[in-house]
Amino acid sequence: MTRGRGFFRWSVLVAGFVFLYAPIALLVIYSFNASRLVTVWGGFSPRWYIALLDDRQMVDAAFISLRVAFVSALFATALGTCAAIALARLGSFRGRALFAAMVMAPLVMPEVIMGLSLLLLFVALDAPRGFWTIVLAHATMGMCFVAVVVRERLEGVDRSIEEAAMDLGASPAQALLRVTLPIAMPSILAGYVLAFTLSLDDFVIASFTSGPGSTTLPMRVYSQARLGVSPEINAISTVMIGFVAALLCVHALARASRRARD
Amino acid sequence: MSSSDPLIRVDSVRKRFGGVTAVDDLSLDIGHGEFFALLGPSGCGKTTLMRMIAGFETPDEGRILLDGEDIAATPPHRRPVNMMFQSYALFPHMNVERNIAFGLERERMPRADIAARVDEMLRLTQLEPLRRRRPDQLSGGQRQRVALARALAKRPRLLLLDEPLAALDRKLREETQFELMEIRRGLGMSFMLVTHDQNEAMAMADRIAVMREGRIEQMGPAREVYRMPATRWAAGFIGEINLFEAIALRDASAGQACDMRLRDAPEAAPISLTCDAPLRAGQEVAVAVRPENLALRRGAPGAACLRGDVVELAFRGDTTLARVRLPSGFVARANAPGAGGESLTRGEAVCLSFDVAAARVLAS
Ligand SMILES: Nc1ncnc2c1ncn2[C@@H]1O[C@H](COP(=O)(O)OP(=O)(O)OP(=O)(O)O)[C@@H](O)[C@H]1O
Ligand SMILES: [Mg+2]
Repeated sequence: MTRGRGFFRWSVLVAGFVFLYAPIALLVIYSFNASRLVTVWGGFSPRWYIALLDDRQMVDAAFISLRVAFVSALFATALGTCAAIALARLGSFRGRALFAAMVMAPLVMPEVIMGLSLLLLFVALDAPRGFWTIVLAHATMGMCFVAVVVRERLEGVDRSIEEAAMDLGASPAQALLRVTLPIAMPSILAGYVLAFTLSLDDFVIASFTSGPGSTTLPMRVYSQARLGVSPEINAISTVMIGFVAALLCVHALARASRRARD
Repeated sequence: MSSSDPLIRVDSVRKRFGGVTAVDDLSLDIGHGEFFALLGPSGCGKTTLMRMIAGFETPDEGRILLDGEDIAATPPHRRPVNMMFQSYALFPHMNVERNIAFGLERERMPRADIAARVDEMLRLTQLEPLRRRRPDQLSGGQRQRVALARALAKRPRLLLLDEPLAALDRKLREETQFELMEIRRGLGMSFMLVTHDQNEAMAMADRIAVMREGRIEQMGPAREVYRMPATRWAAGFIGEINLFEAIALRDASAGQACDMRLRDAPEAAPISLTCDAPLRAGQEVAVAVRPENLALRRGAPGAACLRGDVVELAFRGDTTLARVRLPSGFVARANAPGAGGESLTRGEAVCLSFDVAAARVLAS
């Protein structure tokens, strides 16, 4: 009886993971396929990775994506942290509920609507679309995720510690710099990583807000895939997966070592 | 500023939180170098009062004066007042040493002086072996000592201590009490202490205020508050006390002796006691007597004596606490010195008497 239950639980777990990760595993495996046919295994070969290096458009797109992610995550983290501090620490101010709702809204708003409205805004402002419009759009999207993560952390910490800092002679600015921000730092870093990966894999918003010469990697991959899936796309996708996985690993290791040090 | 000004004067201060009046028209002074203790039940506004003095709450009404000057416009970090928070509020990302040094660094004290002061505080609070630990690696009592050390380190003119020793064991608590009194003597700082432990307040404070629902019920020198409670409530709150119901037999003005009859000794001769408030004939009052002032004799029905039966005996080392049920059903507590108490048995008829000088009439 217990055995049966245990077996059932394990099979559900395995089925779930297979469902989630089998396509990704296939994608990774076929990126090393020697054959041009996506569905036929023709032996191991790194040839698509080498072909990738020669594909200037793809490489450019990858660098644009990385730069957009890097810069927009910086903006998102700065803005999101400010919003989180306002929500978690300033007490009640006029319009607080509205502010909280508006900071959180992009979490649930369909990306298409966000992309479209940003496009309309940029058109109305007559802003040339390109790198910076994508950065702004991604910063807007990322900041609410950062705000949620940082706010969560701040609300878990006794409010009176900032009061204690001020009581001991720290000005409000010093209390922020020496007490609030260091305490929130792990969550701020986590927020940055989150905003970075969200920006890296965003397709919808980038499509609306990009301009000529600023095609991001997901957009490039999508347009190529429409012409037929080449193993080269598998290769670039594998690189992206590897990159995000490495980023998450570094973040986890940094956390673990900080824990161990204390 | 004149030299006669108190260090802190709280002048008719009121603070409301929504519908709750946490502090209600409260006035008090704390003198230079004074040790002031605040006693009161949970939720009576002690922390709120301290937070207003430290600058974290703004009074709705009234003023707070430091050296005779209104400090309403002074932000917390500029007030020469430090507070030890009831929740400790330690900095979780700093170790014990850095927590204690934080306030000194803000003053831009030279490094060597900071190190010396931190060492001194660590020694004082017996935290030396834990100096590199972070707050989440400490026990509750250890955290409390860090909070105390951190607040003390700056040597403020007024130190606000919100239940500073509640989490310490008895021995450590007594040692720390002693250390605090030493520090206060050495540095001439003023202290305001919130405590739920009356013995602590009695032992350390020059003056005590008993708070109730945001107001001061009674304030005065520690001994006086204990010996001469002003109201039934204050009497019951501080220490153990017997409140015997009595009836005034004639009118008397305040300060005049008045005859009264104890309800539990109807046939005894009336006793004559002085009351602070005017009394009317027939008015019901309470006669308050501390257990240690209540003499207990066996059997022998004397003249002015309350007769009753022993219902319970608790040996407390040098004395025996006897609970004696009187005819009205009131259970009085009396301390019999060791030798007399040990031979008592439960159910025995005894007789209680007291010296009128040790009794106090409470009209309210
Ligand atoms: N920030 C606040 N918002 C609303 N009500 C509050 C706030 N702070 C205190 N109160 C209320 O004010 C009253 C006094 O609170 P306070 O913390 O001063 O009590 P206290 O005497 O320190 O109690 P304790 O001995 O339990 O610490 C309580 O009824 C409390 O609920
Ligand atoms: Mg309190």
